[in-house]
Amino acid sequence: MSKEVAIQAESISKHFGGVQALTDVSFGAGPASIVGLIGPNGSGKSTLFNVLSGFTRPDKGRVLWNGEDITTVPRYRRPRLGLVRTFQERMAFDELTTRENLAFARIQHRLPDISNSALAEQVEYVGLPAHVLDQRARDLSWGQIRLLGIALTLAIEPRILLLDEPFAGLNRIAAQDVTRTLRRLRDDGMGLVVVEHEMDLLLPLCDRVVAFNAGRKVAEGTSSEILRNPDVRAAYFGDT
Amino acid sequence: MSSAVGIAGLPSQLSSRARRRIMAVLPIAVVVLALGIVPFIGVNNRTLNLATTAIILGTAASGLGFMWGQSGQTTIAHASVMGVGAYTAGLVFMRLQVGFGLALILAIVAGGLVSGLISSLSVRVSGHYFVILTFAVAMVITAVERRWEDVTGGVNGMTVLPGDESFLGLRLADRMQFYLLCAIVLTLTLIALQSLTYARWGTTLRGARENRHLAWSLGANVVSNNVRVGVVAGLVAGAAGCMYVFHFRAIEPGQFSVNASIFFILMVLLGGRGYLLGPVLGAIVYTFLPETLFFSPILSQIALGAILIIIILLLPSGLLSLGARIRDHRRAKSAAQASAIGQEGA
Repeated sequence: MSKEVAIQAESISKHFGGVQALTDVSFGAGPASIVGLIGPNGSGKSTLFNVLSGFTRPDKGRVLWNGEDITTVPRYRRPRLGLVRTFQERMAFDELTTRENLAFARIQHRLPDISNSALAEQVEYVGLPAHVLDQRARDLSWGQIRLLGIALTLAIEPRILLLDEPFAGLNRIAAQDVTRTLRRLRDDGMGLVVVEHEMDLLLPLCDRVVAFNAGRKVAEGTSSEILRNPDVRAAYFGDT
Repeated sequence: MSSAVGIAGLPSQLSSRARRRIMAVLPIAVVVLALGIVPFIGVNNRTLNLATTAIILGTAASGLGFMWGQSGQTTIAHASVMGVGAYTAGLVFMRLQVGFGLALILAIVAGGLVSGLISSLSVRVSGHYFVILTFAVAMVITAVERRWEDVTGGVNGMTVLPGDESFLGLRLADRMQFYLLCAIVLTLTLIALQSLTYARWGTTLRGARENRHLAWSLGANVVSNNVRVGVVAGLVAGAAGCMYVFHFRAIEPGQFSVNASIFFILMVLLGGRGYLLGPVLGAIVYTFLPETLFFSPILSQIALGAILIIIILLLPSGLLSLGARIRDHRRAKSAAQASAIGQEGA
């Protein structure tokens, strides 16, 4: 995995009707690190994700991939660069089996079919048992769906992974599985950008945290620096 | 083409690849057997005509079934596209004096082109808007067929006489031989659709049908794929249109109206849109059922409507889902019994 790979957002602004969702936001993430994006609802985290992944075109600013401008690159082409995102909602094709779900991901990248044992390794890597390969996704638990979502993105070998609330709706044990997987991915060299409301799960995981409020970046630093930042405390925790 | 439903019924000692192969070939074998038996059972002319009609309608409905079943989008312009195929074949055969083979190819190409155009216009919207847009296009096509009298014959329609024309050694004017030709077209259509379903593209389509956002995020171009599905449905409708005009030998715009498209949707629903043979079965029921109801034509239509409503309400996934329904019911029953025994034991 190349060390140079990095995603950068330069002075991004975006409005929807009368709402200014993002104002002059700059942000970057590189390999082998976990960056957390925090902020209250409506602070612009998801809009930034949509801009980075090509689901939303910014009004102003640029998105750079390894220094190359990809602002106008269509959303379906960005995964081919190595930039992949997840969603808050169900990350699976319900009527397909786990095996077919993984095949879907590989097909889009013209990757060849892989053996049963390699498929089993893929699901076991994220903490799923191999026997789910022939189960339809609709029959998996919510926690397993979350893990399958990560396995799907890994099947196309991303270099930067954008994770939208990976802990949403998970119990403690399932959340620990996801935490373990994310740490392992970081240790294997992948860059992770995580939007999450569960502070107690997110902050210990992050190498760096970026805080947003009302569409602006208000702070950036390590987890402990962010927790001490008065602007963050005011915006996120309501401290005055 | 819900493979998992069928696969579940096969012996578990077979490998999943072997089971997939059997499930891919089995429906085609059933069709070949069923179609091939007709010449040997001595059917009368009326039944043979009905069987030919059912095969042609089943061919067209299979295109719609593929589009609907694989991509989740349906269209109210399918009969219009079939009409484009029918008029194209009729025109080039009668006016340009081309052979049947070329007429068939041109009808297929015309159907694919028009359907691709409709899909590329409609595919950027989804759900009801998609259907309404295809409805509008269908109205335009019918209006053109009615008004462009010099070419289409307007409301009076067009007559096509096959004369001595033969194709693949089969005479078009001979009812039995034409039936066999239609059976070949249906079989080839089903083989093509089944191959696409089991190909990597089929997995892409079904995934995008299930979760568009996820499909986009994993690198699928959902819009382009849906346009291509529209093209495939159109190619099939074009072929069916060509067979239709040589079967009925006279066509007029009303035969390819929005009403006709709704009947195609009914056929797919009736048989089961998740199954390769669903639309064919739907077309057979739709064609033969009124003949078995010995009422006046109007009463037959009412009875047909009522029967269709009952079937669709009782089996919303179509007639072919009956086996899966029974299997699911048995499994649920045995699971409940096992649970009851477990509770007694505790």
